[in-house]
Amino acid sequence: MRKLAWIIAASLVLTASVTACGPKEKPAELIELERVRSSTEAAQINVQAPSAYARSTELYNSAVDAWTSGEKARASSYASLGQRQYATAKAISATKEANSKVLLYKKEIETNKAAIKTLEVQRDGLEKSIALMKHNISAASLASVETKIQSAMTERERAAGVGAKETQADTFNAGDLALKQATEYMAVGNRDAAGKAAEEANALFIRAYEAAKPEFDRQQQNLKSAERQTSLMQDAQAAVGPSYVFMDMKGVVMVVAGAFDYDKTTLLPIKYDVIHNIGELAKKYPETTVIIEGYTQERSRKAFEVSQMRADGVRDMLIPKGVDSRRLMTTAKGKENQRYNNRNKSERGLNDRVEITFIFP
Amino acid sequence: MRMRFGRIIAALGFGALLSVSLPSAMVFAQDGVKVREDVRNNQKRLDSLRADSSGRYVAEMTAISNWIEEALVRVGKNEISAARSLNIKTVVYLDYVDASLKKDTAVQMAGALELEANAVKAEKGKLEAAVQTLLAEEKLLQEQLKGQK
Repeated sequence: MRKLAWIIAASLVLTASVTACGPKEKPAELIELERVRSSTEAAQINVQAPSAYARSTELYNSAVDAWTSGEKARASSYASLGQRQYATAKAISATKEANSKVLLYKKEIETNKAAIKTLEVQRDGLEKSIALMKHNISAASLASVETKIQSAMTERERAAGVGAKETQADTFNAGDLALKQATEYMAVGNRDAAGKAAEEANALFIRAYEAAKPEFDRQQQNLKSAERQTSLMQDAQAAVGPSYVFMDMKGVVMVVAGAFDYDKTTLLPIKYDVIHNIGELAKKYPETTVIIEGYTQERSRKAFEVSQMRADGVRDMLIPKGVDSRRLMTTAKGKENQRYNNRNKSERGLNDRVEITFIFP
Repeated sequence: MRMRFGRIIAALGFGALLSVSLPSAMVFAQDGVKVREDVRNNQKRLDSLRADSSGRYVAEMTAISNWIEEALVRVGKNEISAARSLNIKTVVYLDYVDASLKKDTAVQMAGALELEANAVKAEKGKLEAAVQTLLAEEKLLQEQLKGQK
């Protein structure tokens, strides 16, 4: 019986010692702590929060020591605190990271705000510049239209000056209408339409002017010629004698009657002064063409030749007086156009004459 | 003589006992004061954190509060070692709550600033686009002006 008791006691002691020395079970908290400490983020946390991480390490070491000593409960408690300390280190690390971000964002915001300020200044400058340019363009456009209208009005005056209002009434009136439209468009601010209407008016007035101009010039020339003719008439009457000057369809005719002996071609000296005066008139009226016609009386036997020579002779006298030979033309008229009575002996000789006609262009 | 010797021995024994027990008792008393002060400091820190917490980390702070109360009880019972252990746990958790609150604030601020940075960036982008448009318009108008001259 005593033996059995000893055996049981020995078995109990053995069981207890085996239990005590058997494989130690690691607490879950310690396992978890080891897991998080071996993760990749742990290294970063150690760099970011070294003090907190170091405390976590101390607690971990204490947990390991406790576990090694077989104090499982204490090991669990230290490991749990180590986990919490690790979480603290992690939070500090995250705080630092967030603060870095804060600084980064602040810097970014500052940089961008500075850029915005610059851009705003640039934008404002551009807006002002654009407004100014728009104003200038508008003013230039307005000025352009006004110039066009002014130009059309000038053309209108020019056309009216050559009588286009009467001679080119249709075109001129169309121009007036377009000009009126241009003014009306301008009044309501429709610059484009005003400009186009002004251009049309301008073109119409120019067309009217160009169509009216030749006729106007002709009229002016005629008027001028008439005035000059009148002046020449007066001068010729003074130079040749009133009864030997007249005006016909061609121009002013001066008759140098009785200037030659019968069938002779030499000018009688008595007529030298008359020819001299006629030469002066030719110089005074350089725009005229001078036609010298030679005549004979009815009884002439070689009327044509003689009359030609008489005309040529007078021409040859005028040239040395300074009259351009290109203005002088001679014609043999012979017995044509007898001005004096051939039956009357005293008048017959007057037909031996030259007639000098000044023709205006 | 024998009796005197016995008294001397007793006195020496008592003195030896006193010399051993008194310092250890004084050290023990000093530890109690230090632990109690730590507990008070922990309480102040908890109050401060609670004021800044805006209702966050309630569970952690409740647990801390319980540990502080328990630590005070243990100190009262002169269970200094247990009180010290509780203090260590309390400090670790106070650190955790403190760090977490700071982290939350920093993360929140970073988030807000990120939003602001994005908004500013977007505004900058819009302005850049507007400036480009204006530059193109200006160029066009300049050409128009040149044409008029």
